[in-house]
Amino acid sequence: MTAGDQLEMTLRLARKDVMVELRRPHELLSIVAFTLSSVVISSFSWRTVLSLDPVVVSATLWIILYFASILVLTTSFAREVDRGTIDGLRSLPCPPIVIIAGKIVYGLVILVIALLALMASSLLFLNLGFAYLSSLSMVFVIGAVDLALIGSMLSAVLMYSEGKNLLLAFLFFPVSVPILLPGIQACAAILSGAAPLSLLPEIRLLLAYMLAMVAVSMTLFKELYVE
Amino acid sequence: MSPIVELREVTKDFGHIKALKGVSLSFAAGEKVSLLGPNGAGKSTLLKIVATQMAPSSGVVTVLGYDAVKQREEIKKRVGVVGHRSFLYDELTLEENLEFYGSFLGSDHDEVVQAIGVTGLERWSGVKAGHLSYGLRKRGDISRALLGKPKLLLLDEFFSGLDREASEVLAQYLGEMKEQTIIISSHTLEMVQGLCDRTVRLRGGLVEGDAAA
Repeated sequence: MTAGDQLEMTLRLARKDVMVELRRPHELLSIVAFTLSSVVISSFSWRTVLSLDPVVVSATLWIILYFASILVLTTSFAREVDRGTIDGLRSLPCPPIVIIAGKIVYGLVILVIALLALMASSLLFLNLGFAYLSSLSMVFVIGAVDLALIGSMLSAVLMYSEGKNLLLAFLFFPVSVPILLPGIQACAAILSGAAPLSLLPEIRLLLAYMLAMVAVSMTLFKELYVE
Repeated sequence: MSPIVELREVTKDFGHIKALKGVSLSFAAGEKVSLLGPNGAGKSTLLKIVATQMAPSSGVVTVLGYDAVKQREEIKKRVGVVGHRSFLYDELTLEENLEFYGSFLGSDHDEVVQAIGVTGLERWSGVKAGHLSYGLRKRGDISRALLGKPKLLLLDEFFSGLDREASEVLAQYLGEMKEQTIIISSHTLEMVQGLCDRTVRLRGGLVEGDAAA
């Protein structure tokens, strides 16, 4: 099986999950609604928006993305187990890495939808300048890949646990810290008007964590997937 | 002629629980075999091991000449599995479900339509699986399991939860399948005895009996 075949299978799995998600629009809408309402509530509570500290804005955006990730990723494998379709996935003639990769891509797609809502609402309600948009989006997308990776992996680790959704919410925090800290710092720097090159240390950290999580997923998931 | 499935001294432990305690069995091509036994006898575990969804703790399992631990993907391409829970996604139509599973087995649209036709579900192909009755869903699961033209069908607790009429319809479909080897697990003899030509009885993770039906 070539890498191209594996990529094609990964995209097929992700497409199936996105289709399933779009056919249950209440879940996707609840994630978007959570994102929008969080930004609006923040905007109302910070009446003096023009004098906002970039670190506060950055941290708020990342906290919203963090909670949106929990909403997206807790259902990733849990739903397959709850409905019995996990055995259907197990019956597919593809390597385990394809299954986890499909879930990561699916998680990323949904997180990008949440990010679009986050960016659009931030432009409207938090007075974010258009000038920051491309740099912020780049950092958030790298962060979203990281969150999708660790969220999908945790969801797989906990898929047979009692109270898996609660456990995921608790365990997600410590493994998210290496994403949240550089992410918040990078976005705060962008909002302060820092030069793009000054973001490199944070971007490198986010990318290094991504590679580490890819390596963990490739080695650990195979053991989890075969009972 | 070499057996299509062969298990030698297969064990499976879940911590301190021994689900299989040294099972040796072989199944010939074209056989229709019922695996009988009470709950906890090891039927589902045995089927999951043959389907390569589960690795044995010890012993050797070969399916269609492939090693069930080292050559899982080769086996999965050639084996159809129907679990006691449906593998169909509620939100997708029957046809979309089969297109999804079939795409991993090299099945084209014509084969999907043909598989739906085998179980007489043409009328329901555009209906979401979540809206199908339990019996129709089981038929949909058979259609799904037939994708890729498998040589071996593994049906776990297949008749559980079905009324007599639906069971008879499904038994008829299975009876008409002459090309596949079929292994059906059940905790009652009632539905499988007319369908199968061999009965293997499991109890407590051991083979208790093996005889022609």
